[in-house]
Amino acid sequence: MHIADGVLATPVLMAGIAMTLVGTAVGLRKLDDDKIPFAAVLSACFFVASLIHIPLGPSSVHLIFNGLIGLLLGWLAFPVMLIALILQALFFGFGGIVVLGVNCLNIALPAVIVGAMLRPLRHFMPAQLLGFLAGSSAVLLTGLMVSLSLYLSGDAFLTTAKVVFWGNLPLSVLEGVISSFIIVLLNKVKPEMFKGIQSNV
Amino acid sequence: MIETLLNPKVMAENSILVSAKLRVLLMTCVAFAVVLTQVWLALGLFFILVSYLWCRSGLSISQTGKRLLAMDCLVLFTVLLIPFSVPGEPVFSIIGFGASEPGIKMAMMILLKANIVMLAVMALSAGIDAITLGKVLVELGVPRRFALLMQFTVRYIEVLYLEFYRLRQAMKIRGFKPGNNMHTWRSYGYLFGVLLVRAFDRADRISQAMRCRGFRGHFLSHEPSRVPRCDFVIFFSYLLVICFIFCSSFWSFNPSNYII
Repeated sequence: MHIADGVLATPVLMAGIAMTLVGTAVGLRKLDDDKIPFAAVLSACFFVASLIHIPLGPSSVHLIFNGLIGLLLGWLAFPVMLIALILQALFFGFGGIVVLGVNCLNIALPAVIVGAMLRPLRHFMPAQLLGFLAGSSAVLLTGLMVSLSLYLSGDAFLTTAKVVFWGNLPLSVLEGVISSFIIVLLNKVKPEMFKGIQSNV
Repeated sequence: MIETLLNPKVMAENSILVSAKLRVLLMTCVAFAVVLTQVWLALGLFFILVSYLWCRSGLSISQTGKRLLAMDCLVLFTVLLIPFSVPGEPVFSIIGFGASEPGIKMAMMILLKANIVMLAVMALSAGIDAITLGKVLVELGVPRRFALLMQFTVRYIEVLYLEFYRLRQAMKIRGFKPGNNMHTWRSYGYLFGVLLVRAFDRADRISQAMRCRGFRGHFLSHEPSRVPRCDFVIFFSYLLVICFIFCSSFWSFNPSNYII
């Protein structure tokens, strides 16, 4: 899902940067000072988990976990994802610098949306369903947004955008299945995690 | 992979601009200038500049090549279909689909831009580890909470990676082999779940320990690093070169005007 530098058109890049800045500012405002170590450990956990490759078909993929991040961290998804993407761009060479805004928006906005929609519903559905919905819908939305940012950058990317969107579908199913197991385990072992760590949840 | 975060192999001594702050700033400027340029000549000049920076950084060819190749695979996938979807005079065709000349040029330009930016990032970030980066970002005016979150995140990535490694070892010893089946996905799901639970417990302990030591959201000793004046001179001369190359793309440069 990393778009490299030089691909997208300038208006798309600027819009991405602006919206990511707003999202990050909102996220940071919701973070209490004494909760910083807490948020950081969970953010590090998701960073490590997203480095792990899982076999899918003939190749292997890594998960994004933005559905779970949205469910557990809410608006903090923006700063957490931005940090992860900065570290990946600078130290692992994935993605780029100018495109950071768009990449972060494409991952964090679905996280926030999915988190906001599913958190109130979590008592009304079984854990498996909650996990599957969170994981798959967040990745689906991310795929849609990546395709959209490609499509908005010019008609030349129309075919690529379609390929990205359809190629993303199996990924979203896999993410949904694994997230559902994660949520089942968390629900049994540590249900208080779902209360979130934001001060006003 | 994780070790590159904490212990960069190359030290900063032989790189240009001793100050990490100015290097991060310069990297951002180069990235923006390259991305916004639409002219081949300017991109060529940027490439020469960035190659020079790379030579000065002392990175090994194999290390650089590996990273560029990994990124190029991704970019190639993005631009592969462009020649076939941009209208124009077809140059060659594959099973009935013609690749147009403007499409090929566009794809090549994207590939070049991505490589220049990545080379610049590698050359200028050589020797900066993630902790230094956090400090640099504070000095550059990034919100304190963000930088703090980043420094803590970097610290715990290593810790949690070790935790993951232990869990993974335990699975391997019990004969776990990943494949395309429900058993694999369930095992990975539980693995990530346990990792999250342990992270949560650890976070709780860390929070309490830090509160015991009077942590209120910022570190007490944070001395700003001093940037020598000669660093600024070097920085502004590089900035001037970048501006010059960037502006050169706006002049309508036509070689035939100069040949009488």
